[in-house]
Amino acid sequence: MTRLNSKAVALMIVLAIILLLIVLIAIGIKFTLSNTFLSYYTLNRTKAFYFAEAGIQKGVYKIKNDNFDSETGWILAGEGENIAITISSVAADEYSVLSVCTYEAADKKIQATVRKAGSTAQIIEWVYIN
Amino acid sequence: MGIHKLKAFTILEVIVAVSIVAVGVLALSAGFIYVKNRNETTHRRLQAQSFDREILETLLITPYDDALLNVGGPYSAESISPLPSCDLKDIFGASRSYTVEQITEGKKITVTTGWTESNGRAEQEQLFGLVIQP
Repeated sequence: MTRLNSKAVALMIVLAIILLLIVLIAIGIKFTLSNTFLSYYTLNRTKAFYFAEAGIQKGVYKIKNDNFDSETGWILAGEGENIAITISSVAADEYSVLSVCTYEAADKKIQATVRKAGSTAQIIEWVYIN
Repeated sequence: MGIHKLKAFTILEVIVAVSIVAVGVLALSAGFIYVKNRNETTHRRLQAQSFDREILETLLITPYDDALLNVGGPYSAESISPLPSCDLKDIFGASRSYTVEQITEGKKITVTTGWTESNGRAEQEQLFGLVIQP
């Protein structure tokens, strides 16, 4: 091997090592970022779930008070949540309450069947849609 | 082949090349460390949220007039369920509390788990729920 060739080989090895180092760090960053975004999504989905469940309770409250109007943009905590409550009659004294909460990039949909008896109303069935 | 073509890199060329590579690798490493720290904080948030859930689930099935749901707070959640020994509690000093607020529809519950990051920044994770009068 001439001196010129050995110099070129050394340069290639150094470049390959640098490239490998950069690729490894980039893969590490991508993997960690994906993990962080997934965790954030899980956090937001859980918050949306409890907001949506509160929306169902709000629906039960409305039915109890003979208010069967649907509602959009209901806010429980002012944390950026947007809760839509849809009430529809499914049978005599039975109502379906659909609560959809959007929080950050996550959303959650819960449905419940509510039976009204006099001045009381209670949930008889929960349906978790997504 | 002339002698000129076989000349090695000058020290200046090597220093410049190594500097450029060092800056690039350092920038990437700094980015990696930042993202890794964010990831660890997010994992602590997830753990804190699971602690919040435990208390909120308990309070959501508590009778409306129970003393646990007296309007006010923040109340320590230790009496409901003490925080288990974990890094979030033992290293980051996490504590859990809740407040109960009277609103038109019933009682709004806010459960908070707060802790201090190693850089001194205070963090908290909250969950909200609603209990209506039966």
